[in-house]
Amino acid sequence: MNSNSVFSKTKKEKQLKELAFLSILYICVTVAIVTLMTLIYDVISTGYSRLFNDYELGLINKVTIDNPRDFLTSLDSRDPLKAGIGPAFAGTVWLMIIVIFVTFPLGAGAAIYLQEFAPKNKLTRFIELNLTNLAGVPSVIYGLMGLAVFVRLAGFGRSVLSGGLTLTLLILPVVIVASREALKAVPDTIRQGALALGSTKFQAIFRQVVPSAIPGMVTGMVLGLSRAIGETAPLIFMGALTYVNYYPDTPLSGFTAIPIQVYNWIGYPQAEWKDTSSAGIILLLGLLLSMNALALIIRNKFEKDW
Amino acid sequence: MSLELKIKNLETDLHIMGTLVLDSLVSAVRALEDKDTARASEVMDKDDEIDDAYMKIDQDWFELMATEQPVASDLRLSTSILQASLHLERLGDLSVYLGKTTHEIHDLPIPESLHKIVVEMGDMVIEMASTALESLKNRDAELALSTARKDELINNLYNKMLNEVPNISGNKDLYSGLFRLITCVRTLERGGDHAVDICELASFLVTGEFKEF
Amino acid sequence: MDTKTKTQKELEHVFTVRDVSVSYGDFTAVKNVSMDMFKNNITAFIGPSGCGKSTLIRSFNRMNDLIPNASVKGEINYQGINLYDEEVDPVQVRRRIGMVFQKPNPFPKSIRENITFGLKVNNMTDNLDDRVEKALTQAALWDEVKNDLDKNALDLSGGQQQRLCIARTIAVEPDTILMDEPCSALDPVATKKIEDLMQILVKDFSILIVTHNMQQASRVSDYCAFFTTKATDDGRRTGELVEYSDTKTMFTNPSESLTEEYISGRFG
Repeated sequence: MNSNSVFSKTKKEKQLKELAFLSILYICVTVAIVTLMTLIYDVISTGYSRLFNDYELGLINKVTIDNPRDFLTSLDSRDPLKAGIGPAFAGTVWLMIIVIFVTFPLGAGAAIYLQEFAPKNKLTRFIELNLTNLAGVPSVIYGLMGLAVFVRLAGFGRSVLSGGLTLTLLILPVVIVASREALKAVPDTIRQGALALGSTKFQAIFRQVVPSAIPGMVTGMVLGLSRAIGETAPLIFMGALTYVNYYPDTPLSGFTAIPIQVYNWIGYPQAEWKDTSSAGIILLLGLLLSMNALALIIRNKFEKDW
Repeated sequence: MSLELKIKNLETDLHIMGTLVLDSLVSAVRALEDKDTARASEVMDKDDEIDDAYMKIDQDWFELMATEQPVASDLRLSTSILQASLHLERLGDLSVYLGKTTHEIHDLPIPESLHKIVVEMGDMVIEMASTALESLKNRDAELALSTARKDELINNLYNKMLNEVPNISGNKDLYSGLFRLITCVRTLERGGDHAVDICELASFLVTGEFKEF
Repeated sequence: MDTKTKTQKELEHVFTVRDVSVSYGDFTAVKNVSMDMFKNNITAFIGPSGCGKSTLIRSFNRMNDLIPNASVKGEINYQGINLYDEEVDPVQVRRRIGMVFQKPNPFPKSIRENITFGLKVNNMTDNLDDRVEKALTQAALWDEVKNDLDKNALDLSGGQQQRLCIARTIAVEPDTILMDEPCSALDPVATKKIEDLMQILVKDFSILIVTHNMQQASRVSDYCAFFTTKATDDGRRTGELVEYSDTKTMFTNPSESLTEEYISGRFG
């Protein structure tokens, strides 16, 4: 039996096809990475000096700017070299705190209810369907809703509280869906095993299922949060200020956020503002990267092999 | 109860039955020698015990097969035990036959030379049965072989008896006794065969192959 | 080999089942089951797949309550009490009647916590360490894990995990243990360990085991119930009890020809 002829005929054809396919894949990946790298390089090279170098300004009244401290803590200013991201940073932090404290209980609670307790009827299915849809609604709509409900109806005004609550609404569907997936990933045998020992449904869920699902829920939360801090449109719509020269001191005070501040700076004509905005973008990217890294770490540390 | 324990118990039951059968054979041969009808009756009554022992082994083996489905060495051992118990039961029947014969010759004139041969053959069967059981218990293939070879001695005794018969051919009074002794000898010969069969089982357990001795 | 010294009438009943049918919606999974199960005995349910043995056993500790459209007709009496009576609390039922599942399902926590969970939800929190040791010892697992009680239960082998599940079940001191094909996910060595364990446990507990392995049923059980499916008028198959007797009789001389056919491997 001539094994060469039997096996080698199709081999070459297949090899060529595979090679062609792999090459296309590689090109796609390269394009994506190269684009991303270019953007990052551009941002870092423009903003680096503003963020890390120290300056001396003014001929008569010498002002020393020690970066990055000054950039991070200074208020906004007409001078691109003096403008700092302080209040925006603070505003973002305030927003994050509010979002965490409101979203996690609501999101986790809703997910637990929908997954474990809700009866499987039309109403529940209707809610589930809409949750998925809500996750895809443009964020601007949430801004409008925030304006109507929190700013005006509830009377919170254009405050960081309204902003935080608006962002909560924005990421709540995502968090609920992610939390539900985490709960679904807990095998039903765990629930049954707990119940078979004479526990009530509550005990089984809150002492066995939820603890096992927490890592997934936290990861979902962190990812939702990292989306929220990059959002600009909804905050602008519900009235975040664009020129802020004070730090927010109560939940009801006015605020701005990093993306908004950057958006604002980009609009100015002077060339130096480009560096300043890039510096702001570096900060934002840094925050986003850290949060995603945190989500990855949490997931890897607590992942369970069922 | 584990499988191992069940099989162990089965083997123990076999050796208990073996003891019963050997005791019975000894009593039967001694009773025949002494023409002791009382002792012969005892032997015949005790046969029920032997039959009960056999039934127990039979039933326990049956249940063992149904519930444990033994394989390999467990299967060889348990089935050998069943077959050995059957041969023992036949040896038990032999004792009963000896007992009947004792009753029958009690009042009959018998040729003493042949009487002696019969008793000698009886003792030989006892010895063969005893060593056969021992070879089974100890998984001793050599003992099994040497025991099986003794069957030749039984054949020799049989031939010796045939040679004696013409010596008494004239004496008609001895014919009834002679007849009974001859049938007794045929039965004893079969007893020897059963002992040999037990030796074959012992050899089978050791080698895994069944050979006719 | 063990001759039972008591007849069936003298043995104490643990379950008395009278004309029980279990349905999911309009589909009857198993119907008209009547039988008595005896204390400190191992009773096996055998039969081809789909004959309702798992469904039936899960109605003995009201696990079927978790399935929305499951319903149970007839009487299941446990030590004289009807399990489906309105006043009976299913949570209490599940404490008294424990269950071990087909695939070992330890909680993804430490070995110790697997056992203390059941103890805590049942307010048996005195002498926790002693109770943990006792349960693991009874489940023939103590020697293997005594120095690693804080190790994650999922790091144990399959057979060890199943023994852990048995340990946590017996820690809450039930009277009866239900086992739904406990060895089907295990290798033969692990299976043998569990079968040996059952023989020891039966001195303190009544055991009901569902198994699709006939040889296991014949090795391990004292009483055997054989179920099969029969076609119903609407074309579906419903499970029925064909024969229930002591194991020795069932495997040497069953009364029903269906039983004989199944046991000798001729169908199912």
